[in-house]
Amino acid sequence: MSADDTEQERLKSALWYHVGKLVDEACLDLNVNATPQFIGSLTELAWVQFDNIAKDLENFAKHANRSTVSTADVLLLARKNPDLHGLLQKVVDDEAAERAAKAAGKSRR
Amino acid sequence: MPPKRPSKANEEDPRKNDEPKKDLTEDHKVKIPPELVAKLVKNFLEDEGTKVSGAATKTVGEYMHLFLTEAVYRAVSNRRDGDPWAKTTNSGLMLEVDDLEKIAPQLLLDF
Repeated sequence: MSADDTEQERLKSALWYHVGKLVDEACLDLNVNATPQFIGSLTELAWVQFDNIAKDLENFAKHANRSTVSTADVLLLARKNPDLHGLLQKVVDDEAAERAAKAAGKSRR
Repeated sequence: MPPKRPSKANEEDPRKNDEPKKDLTEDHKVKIPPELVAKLVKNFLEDEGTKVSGAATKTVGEYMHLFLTEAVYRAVSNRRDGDPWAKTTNSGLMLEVDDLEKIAPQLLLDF
């Protein structure tokens, strides 16, 4: 097994662990249980989704003549789903407001 | 005289009062750490020179959080005739790979 393969396995294990935690939380809210196989498959699905969106984001940034992926690129991911777009827009706005507040606090000092 | 309400509606849900409805934008207790999100995205990039801003990483984290949570809710919803919150009947429900397989196509189209 090459060093790259090992790194991939480690990343996937880390993702698996956190998918498991997320699923447990959602299951607790709904009073259901998930089999380990369910979590494993969902990890696989999330892995492929990460692959897809990473490449999309890279191409979106390139298309805008940038080498850094920005929040605008992430919002573009959700262009076909208005509800998702709205939720992500809120996250982006909150983040921007937080940064602005921090910057204002710094300049005052 | 108002129609008699179904008895189910009169049952007090004990969790309703001490558990205010969660705001989606509030910080999640459980989330994928931004460091891991950054590493995963970087892992799949084709061009070494491409960077990802911190705010973008955070947004991707939220995106994947929604993706994973939605997967669970849809899987439950599918087994419970569109009502994932049918708590009384939910207990003992075991999510299987089959449940994920059924909702995966539409989930991937929506994300």
